[in-house]
Amino acid sequence: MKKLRRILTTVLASAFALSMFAVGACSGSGSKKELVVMTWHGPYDSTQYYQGYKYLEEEYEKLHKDVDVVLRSEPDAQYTQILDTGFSGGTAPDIILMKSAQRSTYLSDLLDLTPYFLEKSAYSDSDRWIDDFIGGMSSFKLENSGSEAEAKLGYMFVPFDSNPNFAEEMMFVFNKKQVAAAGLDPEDTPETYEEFFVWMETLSEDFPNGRIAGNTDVGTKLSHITFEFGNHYYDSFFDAKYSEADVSDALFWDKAYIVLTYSQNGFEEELDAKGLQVPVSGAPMATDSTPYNDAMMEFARQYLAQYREGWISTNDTDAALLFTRGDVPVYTATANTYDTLLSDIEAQGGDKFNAGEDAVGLFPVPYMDADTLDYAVEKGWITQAQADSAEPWIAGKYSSVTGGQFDFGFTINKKVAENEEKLDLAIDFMQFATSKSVQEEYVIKANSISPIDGVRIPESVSKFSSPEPEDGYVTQMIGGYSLEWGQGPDDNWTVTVYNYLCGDNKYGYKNATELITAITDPLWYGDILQLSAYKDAMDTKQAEYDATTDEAMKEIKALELKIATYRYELYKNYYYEKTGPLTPLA
Amino acid sequence: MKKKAEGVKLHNSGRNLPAALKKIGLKIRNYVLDTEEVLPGQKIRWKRVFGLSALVAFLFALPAIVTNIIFDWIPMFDGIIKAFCYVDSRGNSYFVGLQNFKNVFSDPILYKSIGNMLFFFVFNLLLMFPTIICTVVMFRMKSAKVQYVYRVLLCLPMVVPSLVFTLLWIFVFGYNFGVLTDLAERLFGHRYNFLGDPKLIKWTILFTGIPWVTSNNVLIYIGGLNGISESVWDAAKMDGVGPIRKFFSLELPLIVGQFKLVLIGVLGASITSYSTQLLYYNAAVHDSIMTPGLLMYYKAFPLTTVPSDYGYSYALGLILFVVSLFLSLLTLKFVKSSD
Repeated sequence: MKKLRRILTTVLASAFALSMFAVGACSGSGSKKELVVMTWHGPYDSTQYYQGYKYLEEEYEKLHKDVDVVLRSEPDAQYTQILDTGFSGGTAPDIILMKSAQRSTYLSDLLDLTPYFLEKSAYSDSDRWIDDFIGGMSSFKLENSGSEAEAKLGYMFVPFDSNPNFAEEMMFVFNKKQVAAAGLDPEDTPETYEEFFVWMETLSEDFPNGRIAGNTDVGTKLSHITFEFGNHYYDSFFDAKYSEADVSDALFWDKAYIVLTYSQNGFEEELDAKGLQVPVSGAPMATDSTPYNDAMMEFARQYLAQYREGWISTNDTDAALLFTRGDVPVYTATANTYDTLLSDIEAQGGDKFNAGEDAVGLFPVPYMDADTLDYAVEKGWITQAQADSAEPWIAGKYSSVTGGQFDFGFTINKKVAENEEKLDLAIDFMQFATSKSVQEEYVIKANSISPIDGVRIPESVSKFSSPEPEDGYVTQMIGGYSLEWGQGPDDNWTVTVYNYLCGDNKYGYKNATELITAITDPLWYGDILQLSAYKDAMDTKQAEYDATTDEAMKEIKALELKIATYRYELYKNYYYEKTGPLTPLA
Repeated sequence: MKKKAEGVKLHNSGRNLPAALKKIGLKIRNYVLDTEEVLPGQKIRWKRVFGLSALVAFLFALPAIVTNIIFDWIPMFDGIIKAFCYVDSRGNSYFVGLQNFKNVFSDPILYKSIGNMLFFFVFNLLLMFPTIICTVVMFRMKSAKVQYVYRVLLCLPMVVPSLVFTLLWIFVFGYNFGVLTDLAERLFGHRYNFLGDPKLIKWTILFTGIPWVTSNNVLIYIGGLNGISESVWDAAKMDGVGPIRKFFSLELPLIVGQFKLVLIGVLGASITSYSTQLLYYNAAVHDSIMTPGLLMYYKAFPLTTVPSDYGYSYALGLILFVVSLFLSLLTLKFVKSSD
């Protein structure tokens, strides 16, 4: 009897434990239809994007009582791991905010949204959903992933908070009182790097230990200079037809991959182990003859010297404090950090700042022009020959981070399409979120910009952008990629460059080209597909084009075919079958 | 002292093992424990093993076993296997034999990092002694109440996570607003960049441990000292043993068992350490701060946009594990406690 009681107790305990598991496992389900939306923005971020998404969630649920929109925030640093495990294990969310590079990686897991873009939105009067967006079809990238065998082209994401003609940028913030005290006009801010360096020189009398408060981040500082060089430089390696207007953007990354990985040093074994095709022969990296390297790195050296001593070990908080206490006259800020900065100045700045709105001024990261090169020659920073060599490749005007097209947004997990009801729900939510009336409120909640035609940019954001030149922004500035895609002898290119620029040339580089050649590395070769995959993609596009009868779709398919053909040719002629060094054409 | 229990049968639980394996297992055990003792036989009572009580006990232990398997054992074995694979960004593995190990050993950064690791290793060993001295001083206090108060005071900081301490020290050593940086400037007329100078960074990290007394270890040592019979101290007193001799001849040798335990922890922590270095890392101090542990971390999660080299990290992790295990076994073997 006693034994029986013990058995019963054990069975009951096990049953209880199991039921708890079951309740836990099922707690998420209910009668409501669930839609999981994943972003890297959280409620405690310095940005307000999460508040914007929360608004979308609440408004949509008000409209659709039977729907539960679950907002999932994951840290940016773990995003890729979560996507990896999610797609591998079939647990990825329904709607996912993705950057351009992430879309390339997970292209085969994402739903092609092209057919839905070409239909009418349930929340708009336009004939096609895509026409609601600024610039319409031309503002959308046909995804040109180089990472998946099917090399599919289509519209793969829906932007919620970006504008193809406007990029929210990092701006220089300056203390108007200190700038005026140095004899500079706070209303006449620098546009070119020449004007910027003149400002810095003038301020150096009052601030000999550095004019800009900066944190430990080397990469961002260098990018302010390096992306002022290399204007369409990759195009010079390839036949002019690959730079035609309709294909230039789509083939940009293919050209970048070829130039930056054109060397088979060190990875033949790995390709062999995986049973993959190895390019014909080893050759020097294509970047070792870059004509603007010397000037670029010398400007980088001069630029870093403007930052306040000790910046390399200064954290964000201390850097901001240096500025808000009036120890340093210039700092960098974004729209998201600007308001906090102003309130900190009010609390800590005292009489070192003008009162109220006259406390600080803003100017965008300057651009490199011919006058700046002459100025550098005059100052003895670079030689005339280095200036002449660099001049064809400098920006010459403000560049655009956006490149005139949407760059990131929300994608739909391909698995969603297995459930028609869920697919309709996901598309409906996307169309709701991008409707004009919702976006007008959304941009204010999220302190963001809208992709939808006619939605005003909030004033708090509009000042954080370079003014657009009359003939448009310059695009495809690539000077920084040789470094950022590389590694270098220290395993971290920022270390090697920092040491070189700050006087510790421990590897004995004779010039900047030697430094950059040492850093450039064919690390990303793994993202280049086998040539047969590009051929298959081209054949598929041909078949799709032949089978398409709809006029709008035919136009898209024709362009897809052209891009697929050019892409195949690029990899065949300039990567897999090319021998000897890859050098710029005459 | 070697112990030998003659005429005792071999451990019965190993009866089903092949004889060679049984012999090797016994040899390793005896080598590590420094004994030739053979345990008396124990018959396994299978009815008890599969009985109801055992089942209930097993159910209670089940969550711990499952979590152990999922979070400890599977990742560990997975890591060992993947040390021999190329792992791409999607987690696909391709067997590459010893290639990852070749990459590790041909990497010049590894050797730099070993130099840094040895620096921290040696100083971490030396810095074990302030804790021992502090413990002995506390143990010698005559008043039990005062001793208790000091013990509590020593344990109070344990509620603050070590990460907070490190961040606090980073603030204290900060170039712009650091208290110690200001003090050093007043004393020496020069503003030192404690966090950004490659020559200073290792010393800065060491200094942040001041006063180098670890609460947990104090409790371990004091437990050891409390376990020693009063008659030992009485005899020493009667023999007129002075405080210094008492330390070297009695207190220190008598807590060698505890010292060994702490030493194994210090060895493992020094060889695989990376978290403190990670917090102090910046481009200027890269060479001076890189340890094999940090190298392993950065290869898997690079600071720049370079692709992760998981295979390298797995291989280096396995190497560090083996080195750490080897040194721990040596410690067990050669650091002997007094009876």
